[in-house]
Amino acid sequence: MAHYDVAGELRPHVRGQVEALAASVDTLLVCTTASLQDSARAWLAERAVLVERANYGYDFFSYKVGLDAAGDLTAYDEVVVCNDTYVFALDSYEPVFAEMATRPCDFWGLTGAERVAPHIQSFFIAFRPWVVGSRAFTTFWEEMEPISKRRQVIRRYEVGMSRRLYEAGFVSDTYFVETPEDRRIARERMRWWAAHRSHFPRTRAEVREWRERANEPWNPARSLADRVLDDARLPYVKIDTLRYDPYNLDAKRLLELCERRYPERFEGVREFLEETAQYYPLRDTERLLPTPLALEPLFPRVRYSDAR
Amino acid sequence: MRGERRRPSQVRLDDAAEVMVASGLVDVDYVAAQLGTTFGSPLEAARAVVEAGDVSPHPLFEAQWIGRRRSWQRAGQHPVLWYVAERRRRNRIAPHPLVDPRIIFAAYPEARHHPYGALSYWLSASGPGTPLPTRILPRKVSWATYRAAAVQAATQWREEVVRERPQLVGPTPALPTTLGTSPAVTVVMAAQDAGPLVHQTVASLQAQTFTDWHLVAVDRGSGDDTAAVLQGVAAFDDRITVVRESRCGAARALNVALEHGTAEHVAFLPLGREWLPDMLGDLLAHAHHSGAAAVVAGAGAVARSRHELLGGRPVDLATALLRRDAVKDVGGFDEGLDGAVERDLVLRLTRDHEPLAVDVPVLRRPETPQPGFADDRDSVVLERQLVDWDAAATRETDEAVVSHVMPLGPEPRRTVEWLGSVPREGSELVLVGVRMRRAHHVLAASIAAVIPGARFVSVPAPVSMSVATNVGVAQATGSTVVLVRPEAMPPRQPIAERLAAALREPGVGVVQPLVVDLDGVVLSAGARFTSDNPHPELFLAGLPTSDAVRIGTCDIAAPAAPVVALRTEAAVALRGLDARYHSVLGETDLGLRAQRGGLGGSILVPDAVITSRTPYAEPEQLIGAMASLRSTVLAGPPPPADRSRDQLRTAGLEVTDERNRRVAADPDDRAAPSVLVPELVLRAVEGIRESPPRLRWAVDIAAPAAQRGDRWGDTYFARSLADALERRGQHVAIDRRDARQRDSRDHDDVLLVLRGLDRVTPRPGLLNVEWIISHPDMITPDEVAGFDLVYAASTSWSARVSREWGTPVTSLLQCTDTRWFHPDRAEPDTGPALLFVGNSRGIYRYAVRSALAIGADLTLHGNDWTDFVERDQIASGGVDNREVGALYASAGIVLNDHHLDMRRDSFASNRLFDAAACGARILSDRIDGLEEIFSGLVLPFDDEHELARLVEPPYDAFPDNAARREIATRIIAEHSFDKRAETLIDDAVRALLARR
Repeated sequence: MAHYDVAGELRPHVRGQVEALAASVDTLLVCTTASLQDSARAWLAERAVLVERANYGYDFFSYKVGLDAAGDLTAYDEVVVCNDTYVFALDSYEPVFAEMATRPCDFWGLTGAERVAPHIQSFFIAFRPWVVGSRAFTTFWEEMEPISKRRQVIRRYEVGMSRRLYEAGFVSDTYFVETPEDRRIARERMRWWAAHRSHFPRTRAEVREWRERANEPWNPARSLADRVLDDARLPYVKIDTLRYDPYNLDAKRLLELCERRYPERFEGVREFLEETAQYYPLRDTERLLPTPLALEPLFPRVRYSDAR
Repeated sequence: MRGERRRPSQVRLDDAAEVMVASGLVDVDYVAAQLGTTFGSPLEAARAVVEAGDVSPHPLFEAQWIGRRRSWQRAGQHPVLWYVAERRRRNRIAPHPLVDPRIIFAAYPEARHHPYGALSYWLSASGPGTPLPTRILPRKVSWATYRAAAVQAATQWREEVVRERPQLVGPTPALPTTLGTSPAVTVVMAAQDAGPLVHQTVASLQAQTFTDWHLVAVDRGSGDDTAAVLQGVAAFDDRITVVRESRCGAARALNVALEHGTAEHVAFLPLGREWLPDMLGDLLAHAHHSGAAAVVAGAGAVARSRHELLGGRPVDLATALLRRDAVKDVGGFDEGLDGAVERDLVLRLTRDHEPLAVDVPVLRRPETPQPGFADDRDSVVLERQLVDWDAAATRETDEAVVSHVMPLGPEPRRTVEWLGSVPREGSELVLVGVRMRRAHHVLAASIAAVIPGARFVSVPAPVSMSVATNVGVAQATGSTVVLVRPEAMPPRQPIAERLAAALREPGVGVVQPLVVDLDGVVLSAGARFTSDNPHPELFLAGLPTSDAVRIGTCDIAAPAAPVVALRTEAAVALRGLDARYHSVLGETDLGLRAQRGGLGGSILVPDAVITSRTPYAEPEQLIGAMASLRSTVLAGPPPPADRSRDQLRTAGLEVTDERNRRVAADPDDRAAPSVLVPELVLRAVEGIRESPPRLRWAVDIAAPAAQRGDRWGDTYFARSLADALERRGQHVAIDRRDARQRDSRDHDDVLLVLRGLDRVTPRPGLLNVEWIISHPDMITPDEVAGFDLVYAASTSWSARVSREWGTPVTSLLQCTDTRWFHPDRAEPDTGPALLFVGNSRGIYRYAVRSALAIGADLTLHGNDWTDFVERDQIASGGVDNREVGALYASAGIVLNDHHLDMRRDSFASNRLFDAAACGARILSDRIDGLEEIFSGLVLPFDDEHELARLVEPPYDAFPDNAARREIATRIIAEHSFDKRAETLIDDAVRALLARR
């Protein structure tokens, strides 16, 4: 598990994540790039093998350091890499592992996405032992170098990891399985998002661009974030979704609903978001326009809601 | 109407079938044999011919023989109709190799006016016992004999080639509720480096409606993650077993997989292939129902029977189900093969079990990749079925017979050329046809059947030329076998005995003749290897044949030729040519194997010359074959040491460097496949300072290469001059017109142009010498100015031209070859009274015309006279130049005349010198200087009266025998080739030394 915290603390949702993981795995190795406070270090050391390293290269380089430190990976039934960028909604990973043990696939994640290219989202990926021993897997990690640009990390490592494995012939699966209804609402939310990314189209070219954006593949961590409320079918909420509300779907309301549904899991998340807000300003690429007046009546249809 | 205006002898040409019947050009039995049916009447057969397209109506009419670009194709006419309608042309066209219209017209002049042409007339005039009108057969063959052979050949062609495809068995029976074993089917997969295909392939197996299967997937040491992906698939399906092997061939992997299987039946699922969901169940149902050892889904082009397998149809094990015990009984896959293992297995399996071809739908099969020119594995496998080497090893061979084995090429004409030239006493010709077109097949088979010593063997499978050769070798009856490729032209002089004699020398395993191209330049004199390059170079390629002759019979590393000879027992012991080779380099491989196997080395016999119609190989062929040869060269001890440096030194050439030449499939594409072949950089040894000085001469003559040019006077003249030069230590190459551009002329010191009909451009760097011996009219001041030395065979013309053009032209008269022309050749006056030896050259020559006009008793030897004189007045079509001397010496009077321009410019012909050297009395048209040169041996005649007076015995105008003998001796001393050679050498050496 890759970890980072600006203040060197272990936030409650991170502690919950560590405990949920520790309860479900044989060995938990946490690789942190934070300057940990002593108490946090001590707490972690009791529950996991702790590796501390300097803060560069994003989570993927922490994965690499962690995997290198873990010794013979092929000895395990499954090797998981994950990070602390999401709030896990369940008490334990057991149901996830149990479900995925029956699915014939070579590697899997909680969710997959198709943006850039189809891939398993890298905040949680599990690899079967034959993949861990494979040439594609080992060369991928051997060839990895730290990169300082977030977009490049996504492109080269998050998407690249899946591509490498697909090219070798491996197949993947995801814990979260989209239903037709999920796909319908996700598509609507993409249209909603598109309407906030550029002004109302006035030329044919703008119409085309608008339509293309509306038809882009979605990121389930954002478009379907409220599926966490459907008995944790989607068993997590990304911190970024709550912090930036990237599709303008009322993330505040999502947080409230989550706090109500999973009070223990979401304890301290609101405070964490507030305390660290200054370190995570809105990214320019994700800045949205105000909702066009004409579209406001549609908001209730697309906003995050309790989907049950 | 137009039709009514026709004369009765004219024919209506609107219905091809009717014309065929009317002209007698339809043979019911022959047509029936080709079509595998019977006909009630000739008209019925003729109609069938018209409808069938490529069917010959008559044993002596073969449209394919006439040629491809005939106008019937453009006009959409039937070829018979075209043939009988082409009035003017058909009189010259041979509609069949055994029909020579000239012979028909000679025997039956009225055939020219027959409404349907020569063949039709001949057929109407001849009976079963009439010999065929042809000269190509070594002995006369009657029409009935050939007809029977043709009908037989057509029947056999039909039986062998035209076969119905076996019917597919269907519909699928019900699958029994209980099957013998569980799992019922072992599915075998050999996987290598194809990880991305695993999931998709296995998914199609998992989707089968029949589920009681066991997949054994063997990873052949993949370099990628194929094994890991297979492991992942097996982790979720108990019916899948993964076996990991080290890197190995497909056959080994498949055998390992078979070992792991326990089911009664075995299916094969290669990565990348997919099955329709019912495939396995359907095949299994058929297998259980029929009990067949091999069930194949026969849809599409795949082989449905053993015959079709042998015929080269594709094999697709992925749509077949085999009984495992049957596979084990034949020993499984052959691990010694590195390709075509599936075909090999099925061929062995179907020896005892004919496959059951069933009608089961299959997904479209992948395209078979276009075979390249690398190892031909299919041929290797097919050869095992086609050639029984063990039987060949026990067969007796005839020591007195040399067997020529030749796989046939695409051209029927080449086949007929060989058929017409080779089979003689003591030699045999085995023609091997590989899936040929009907016309070629039937022609080859029928003609071979009527020639003693010729045999035609048909191979119904698409095998390489090497395998075709081996099929012939296994049937050869001679104790020496000459392997001939179709591009080789029949030798002009018989070489078989020469090659066989060379093979009798101790330590000789393989003999190759000198191979020249159509221009007469050496194409190959064997293969030479360097110590550090496994690719061979063609020895002496590009040099004139004289260099090879100078080197003489010599050892070579291996042969590289369209023709090689070896003992039949050695060929059988070596298992013939390696079937892997498509076309070229098979002989080289054979030579290396013979040498390694202790069967003897390879030698070159340069006085046996073979002309090849094509370059040695196309680049693609060469690149592919080199890859095959590389494995042979690198596998065993190195090829025999390269002795080319010493050998070339004998020819007056020294090696200054060695380099590599890139042979690329596409010279313009740097990425195109290519090989580097070694190449020697040569330089002529400087012989001018030796004593006596030794120069390399290129003698350029206008005669064309090959047989066409052999009878030209220029050729004889050049040969005599070359011999004289050689006797004085010179190195001489005679280049005929076609070899004029050979690059190796740069090694020469002197270019001597014997000016005939062609103007030759001087070559920079050489001493350019021109000797004008005829056609002075064609010479321009511009031409002579380009040469360093110019000679002319006329004293007066030389003087005039030197004066008028300002270029020195030296007089150098023609001369005689004193080996063949001298007074001792015969007693005077014992031969013909009046003699003329010479070809007509298409004109009624003055001397002959005059002699016949006065009714003289002329003995005429020469070609092309039939248009001017009666046939019985021609003594012969030509006399060997070496025998002419005896005629001259014995004749009463020898007649001579000149070309108009030679007479005008007083170019004394060489016949004058030849006859004078024999001491003959000679009458000639008038030119200047006759008295000075020939001292009374040659008298001029200006008209027929004078001629009539002079030809009357006792020839008082001429000196007596003793005086003539004396004059002849002087002529020999002054006008021999040796004398001219001396002059030329002296002048050349002086000029070359002056240049330095």
